[in-house]
Amino acid sequence: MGNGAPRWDLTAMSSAYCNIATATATRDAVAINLGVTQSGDRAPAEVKPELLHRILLAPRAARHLHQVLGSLLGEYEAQRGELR
Amino acid sequence: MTAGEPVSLPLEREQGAPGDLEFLIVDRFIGTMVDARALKTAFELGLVDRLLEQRSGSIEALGRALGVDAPGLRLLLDLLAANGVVEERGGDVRLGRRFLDALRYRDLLETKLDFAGFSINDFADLFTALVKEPRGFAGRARMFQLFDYRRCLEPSRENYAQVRTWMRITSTLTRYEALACMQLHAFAGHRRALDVGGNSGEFLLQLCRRHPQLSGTVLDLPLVCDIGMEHVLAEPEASRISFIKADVRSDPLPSGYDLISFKSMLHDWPAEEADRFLAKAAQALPSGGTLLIFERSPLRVREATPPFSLIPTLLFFRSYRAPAEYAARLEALGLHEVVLREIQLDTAFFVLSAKKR
Repeated sequence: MGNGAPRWDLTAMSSAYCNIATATATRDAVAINLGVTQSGDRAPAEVKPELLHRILLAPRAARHLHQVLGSLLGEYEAQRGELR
Repeated sequence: MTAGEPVSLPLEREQGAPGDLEFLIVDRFIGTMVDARALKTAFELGLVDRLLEQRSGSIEALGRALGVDAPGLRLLLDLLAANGVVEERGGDVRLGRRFLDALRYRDLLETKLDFAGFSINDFADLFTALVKEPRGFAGRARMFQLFDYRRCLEPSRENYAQVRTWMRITSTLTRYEALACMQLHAFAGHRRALDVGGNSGEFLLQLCRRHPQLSGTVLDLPLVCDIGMEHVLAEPEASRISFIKADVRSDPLPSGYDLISFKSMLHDWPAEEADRFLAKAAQALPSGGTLLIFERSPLRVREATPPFSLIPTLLFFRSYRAPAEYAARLEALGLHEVVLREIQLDTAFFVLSAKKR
């Protein structure tokens, strides 16, 4: 913790690629739904969304995530152009 | 049914039975522009939420909590009381009983408030053009700029934002209109549905929720499908709903569906285009498959002045076709067992279904 960054316990960690994200808010929590689009089982042009993770964030953590993502994406777009 | 004579079977409901159409109560509170504006302000100020949380409050406490001075709050409460939104007894304010019933459909209530509010400038400023110069009206009306389907083709931040705006409106309206559709047509016999111009998937979502045997595919323009996948992502029925990015104007319809539906879609297109869409659907259906049209009927305003909540619908009055027009087209395509059923929502809607031989 010499640089002030939190040290994470990674034993229960899993990783997943996601290309869909939605969020809803209640008074007590912000729910983030993370998913991926999969090819349908009938035709190549058919795609369907699959929910991989639903994460409930405390509102304060959600605000922090919002700030971090805003900053990160600002830098990303400054370097690589606007996301479409 | 004999050719050219579609039958009308008005829905019969048991009197007093809890029906799927209780959401119609929201219109009771959007009858006039003054009623609607006062109610929207009550939402904006947090008055409705405060009275929901605390059940009641004194006028003085409400004024302090909302930051509104006494004359302003008095005017607002009087307007709300006249509309049945609030009741006042001995200086204590609470939400009206019927309004509490309407709040069970708060998403619909707020959507209709917003949609009517969005439409009022077009109606107030351009009504003469709407009556006399429909093309000029379409070119100038904010409503038609909002529903600009050209924005559904190319991904951009602005296009996604605009498409999301109108999809929020249409999805909420569809959430409730689908309940009426399910009263008019027996979906239990269907297994795979293709909803052409199916928007966010909300129509299929409601059908799948009620009918566990059913799965379906939305066929719509690319950005609509992207937003639709987000819309259904977290729903339990998401695994039964897929999307095909296509343009029914230029692409063929896929086969393998025993039901092909057009929900509030055909009225957006000229008659020749609508006919072509129906022909594609008839071709894609298997033998015994069903083609279903769910649309608003032509407006009937002679009997009574339409309420404020119907302003958006009035702006589209030229679009709604008589079911007999569609029925004639389905018969011309060789479909049979054409059945027409009507239901009264905020205006009359109909379900027209037919089978392929």
